[in-house]
Amino acid sequence: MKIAPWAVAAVVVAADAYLCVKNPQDLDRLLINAMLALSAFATLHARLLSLASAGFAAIGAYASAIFTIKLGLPVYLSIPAAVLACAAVALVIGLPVLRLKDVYLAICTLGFGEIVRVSIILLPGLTGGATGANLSTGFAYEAMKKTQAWSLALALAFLCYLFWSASRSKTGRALRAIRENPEAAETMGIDVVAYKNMAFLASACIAGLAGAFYAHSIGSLDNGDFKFNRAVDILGYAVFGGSGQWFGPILGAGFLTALPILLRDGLGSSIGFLKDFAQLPNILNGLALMLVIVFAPGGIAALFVRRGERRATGPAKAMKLDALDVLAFAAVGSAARDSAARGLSAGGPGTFLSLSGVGRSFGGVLALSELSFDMEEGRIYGLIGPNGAGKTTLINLVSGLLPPSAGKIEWLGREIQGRKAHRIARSGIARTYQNIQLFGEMSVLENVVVGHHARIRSGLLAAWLRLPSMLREEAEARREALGLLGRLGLSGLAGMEAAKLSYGDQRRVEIARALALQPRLLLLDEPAAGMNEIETAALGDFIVDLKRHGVAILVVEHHMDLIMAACDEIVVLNFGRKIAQGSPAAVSRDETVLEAYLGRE
Amino acid sequence: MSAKRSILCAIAFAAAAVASAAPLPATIKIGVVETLTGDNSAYGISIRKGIELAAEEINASKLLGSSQLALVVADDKADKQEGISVFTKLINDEKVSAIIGPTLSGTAFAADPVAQKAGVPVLGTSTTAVGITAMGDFIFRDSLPQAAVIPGTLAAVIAKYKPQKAALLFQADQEYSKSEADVFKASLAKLNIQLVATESYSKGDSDFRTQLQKLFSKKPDILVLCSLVGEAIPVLQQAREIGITVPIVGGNGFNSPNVIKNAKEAAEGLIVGSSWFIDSVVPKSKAFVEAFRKKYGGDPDQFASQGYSGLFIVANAIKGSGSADRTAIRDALGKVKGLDTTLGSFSFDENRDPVCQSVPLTVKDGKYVLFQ
Repeated sequence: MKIAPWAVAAVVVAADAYLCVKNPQDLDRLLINAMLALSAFATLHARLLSLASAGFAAIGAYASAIFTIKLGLPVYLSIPAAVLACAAVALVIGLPVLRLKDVYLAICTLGFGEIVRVSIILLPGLTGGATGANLSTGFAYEAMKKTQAWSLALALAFLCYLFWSASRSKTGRALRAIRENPEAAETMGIDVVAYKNMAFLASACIAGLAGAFYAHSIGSLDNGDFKFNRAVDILGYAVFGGSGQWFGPILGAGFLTALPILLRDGLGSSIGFLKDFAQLPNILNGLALMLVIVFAPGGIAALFVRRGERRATGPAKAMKLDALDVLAFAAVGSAARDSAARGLSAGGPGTFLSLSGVGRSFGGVLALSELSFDMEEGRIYGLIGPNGAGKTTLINLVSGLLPPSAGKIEWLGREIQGRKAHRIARSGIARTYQNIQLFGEMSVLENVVVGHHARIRSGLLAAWLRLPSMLREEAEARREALGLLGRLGLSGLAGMEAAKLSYGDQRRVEIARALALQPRLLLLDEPAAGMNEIETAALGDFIVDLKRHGVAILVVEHHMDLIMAACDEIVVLNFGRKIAQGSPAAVSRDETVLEAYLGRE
Repeated sequence: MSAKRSILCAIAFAAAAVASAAPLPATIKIGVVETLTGDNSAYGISIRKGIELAAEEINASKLLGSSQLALVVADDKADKQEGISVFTKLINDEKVSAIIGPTLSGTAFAADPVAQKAGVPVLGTSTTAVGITAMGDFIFRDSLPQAAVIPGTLAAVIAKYKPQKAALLFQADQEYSKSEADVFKASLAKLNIQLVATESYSKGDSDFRTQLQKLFSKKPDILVLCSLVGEAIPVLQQAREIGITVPIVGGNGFNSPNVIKNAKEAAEGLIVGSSWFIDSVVPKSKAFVEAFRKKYGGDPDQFASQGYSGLFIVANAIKGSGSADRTAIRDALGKVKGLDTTLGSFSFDENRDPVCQSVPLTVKDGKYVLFQ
């Protein structure tokens, strides 16, 4: 298992190296395809099933050709100018198109490619129309040819560097989080829409760059160069190589481009039986793609990522405090206090969190109605009620995953209903989920570091420049995250893939991840589900400890022991309405509550 | 010192003399680059058949003495990058003396400059776009460009039907169809026939009735259709179906046995212009059709004929120059005059474009016959 991926990579590299030496045109083609594959990767990796790369490559190719022929721009200006043209188009079409999901986006972007192709035909004055544009006349074609492969290789290497450095930063982590679970990413303070837009823009620019190089590599263009089947080919490279790691699509393009050429050169379509099997390379390429999709759905790059390493032995450890954990834990509390001190809250004491008349209906079903209650800073609130009472709906409303259909939610003196979830998360509300929503393929540690997203200031530029401040911030986030994991008794599991953890451990990772946001309010949706008695009790102690450090908590739970022991106040819901509110002692004696939920002994 | 130099000179002279008088090498490699896979493979496969038949005949008849032609066939997949790539390979690795192909003009625009730069003669047998031979002095073709065929065809139509008004249908996103339509438009204008309506369709369309109805409603005296073989058949059938009875003039795509075979009676009366047709009375052509049927068991089309003649033209250039040298072959190709081929008497003009007959044809009783 460990030899196979390196053998694959070695074969691909060797085959491609052979091609480069044999035939400069094949080298051009390889590099351009790798670039196109990176373009498809940029969108796929951000969970966008876009087929727009071919269309953008066409725009890049024609724009660069037109800038060169009509405006007389030198090649090294016309190529960047073409990339800018693609960026402009991407910004315009990205806005409406990126709202679409999955197959709808795929179809829409295919339509985009067709619009580009038809536009090329309908603008004969600019593009040569159906007969195409010819660069080889009146253009420094020969001079360009000589430096072409070098500049292409350099451009690709530069792109690889950008992807590599971005993948080791906040940006890469945010994109991985989005790829695995956009909803959870959003509630970790990641602006999913902005990142998707960025990915689409990057994809368009890279495709445009590849297209521009293509134009100068070939010297003549027509509308058939980037039609439908190219769009599918490009997606194929990215899927074959894998959309998880940036080097995947490069391997994919390398393999799928090299195979037919090697077959052609090695066996020769004029030799023997192959003469009558001219389609053989296509069939083999299709077969290879199918095999990879069936047996290695993550693409060939996924084979390089070691999975399930360092599985900690023994059962889940009881939570304990050691010196380091206390330190990290103190950091959580002090941050909560700091953010309060920074005056994020304009309002006075009383308006920490306030719900008034909040309702939410799904179709005709009222999940919540006329719900009003206030929360004060630094207290623990329990939310109980039978299944379907609307508890999770309430948490979704407060965390911004759903907008309320009626009523007002005030947080720190501002109305937040309808606000985007990532903004609410950044303002200090973190949550966990009833159905665990971890980033399953990421390590436990990385899951928690995602929680630091909003606090890491170094952006993409800092990541590309690998500024010391960025490296420091990353190291700091890691250190803190490790501390948090220690606090939750997960130190030994930091390197594990999150999905491989036990149910109870996954719940604790979710709590650690939420705490990494340094929230002032923590929403816990059935945190003890799947935990045994001892673990539940430890969780209760942990929650109380959190409160002491200044974090307010709203906890939904069916473990009444936990609720009774930890909560300062309890809200009881039944059929979407609040039926009681008060201290644990008062609620446990309340007739309506006994009737509806707790039952009589 | 001076004795040494004179000896060297003598050796050099001797070597030069041997080179010039050397017989042709035992095998001469000719590259054949055609579209053998994908949407346009029908053309490439047909051409390859014609060329392979020609190679067999040339080698069997000892046209080049003891020297044999060896074909190196490559598939350009109708892809520009692949075209450049296989051209490079044939030139650098296979050391071919000349290349026949590629099938499509688009590929030629990308790949031919490679051969031009390397000084390898290229003969296109199906490229008809404007500007192909303008790419350089090593680029030839034996396929008549549309501009050389269409005026003659229209002149014959005028002589018989005296049309005043014409309507035209073409494929807007297809290079060949589009440029053919442009030539038709220019020729109609020159011949004072009014173009009353123009309609177009796109790749993948299969219902052309709306466009045909629109054209028909303008009451043209003739209908001009520019389609590739694939669309030519349904276009023709649907035109007859909606009751168009005026003479139909087809572009090059309509000059294929497939059109008659599939469109059947809808093809009757269709008028096309071509450098070749299956019942051509040119003696070479008769022999070619017979040999083709014997070898492949089916009828050749125009592309097979042009491919077949293409290799004969190259072989005669090699024979004429007495050399397999690329430049010598190029020079000899330039001098081809009145060569007897399936396309009739064949010459290249000063732009390396073909000079050969173009005959107006019509379909009668399921056969192409001379239009008179």
